Amino acid sequence: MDAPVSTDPDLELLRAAQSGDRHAFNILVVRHQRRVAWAIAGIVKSPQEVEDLTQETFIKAWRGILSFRGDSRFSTWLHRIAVNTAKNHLVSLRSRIPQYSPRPDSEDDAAQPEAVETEDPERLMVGRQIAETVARAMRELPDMERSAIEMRELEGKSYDEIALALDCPVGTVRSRIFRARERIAAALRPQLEPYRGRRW
Amino acid sequence: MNEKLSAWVDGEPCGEEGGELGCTCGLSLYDAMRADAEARNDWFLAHLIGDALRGRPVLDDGFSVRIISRVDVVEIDPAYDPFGDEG
Repeated sequence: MDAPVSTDPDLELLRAAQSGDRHAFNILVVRHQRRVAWAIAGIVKSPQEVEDLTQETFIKAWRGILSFRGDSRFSTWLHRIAVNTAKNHLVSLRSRIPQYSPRPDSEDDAAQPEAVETEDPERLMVGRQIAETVARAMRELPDMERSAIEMRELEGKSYDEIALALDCPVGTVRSRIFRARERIAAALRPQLEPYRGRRW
Repeated sequence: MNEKLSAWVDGEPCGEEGGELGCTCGLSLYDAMRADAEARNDWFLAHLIGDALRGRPVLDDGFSVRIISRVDVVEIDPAYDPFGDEG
């Protein structure tokens, strides 16, 4: 059973969005876009398809925001829309008869199975370097900070759950995770400086 | 990076008093992010760290902007079912 909506951290933003506040919905987009993209990336592989379907998921969520009744967390509802959208996309791909077209219409470009994109080699290399830097910074963290951020990022635990596991106040968890992020960020910043302002 | 932004990245209350959830800062923090390039960079960095730890693809930082610009031309439809087959 999902957590009751009264504990949903998105509740206030959601209520504002349901009253038509686009700004509130945009905050929800910023907060959830990666989790939505990851859910979709588990079903389709092309980065362009992942992005297109992520956009489609949020368009559906905004258009149908009044149909959200609060039976689950907003994040759970959004995840269901994402998975549903990606699966429907796969079904539509499978039902399509492959056919040569010298001038494919733009709507269907991303749906061509043979048009799967490959990752940019530079992007792959930078990603690998980032992963190495983060792993090294993690090893150098104080134990308590490393435990806290591992529980959050790898196990998906809430701050309350981490506080219980580490037998400390929630405020301490918040501080440890922040300090861990700040130490790792300090290691990453010089590496990312050449890419500042670039989309990658 | 500050502690408030770090908590917000996790969808957790920032620790300030007020509101049923113990946090009513979401909108003001987002406003701050919109006005502050360093805050936006820190937001991106915090997510990048999580992505790297999970070994997941690194998405570019224009991703949310592109989503928002697409959503911006769509209206709420009281009769629309997002789980219907038609998008």
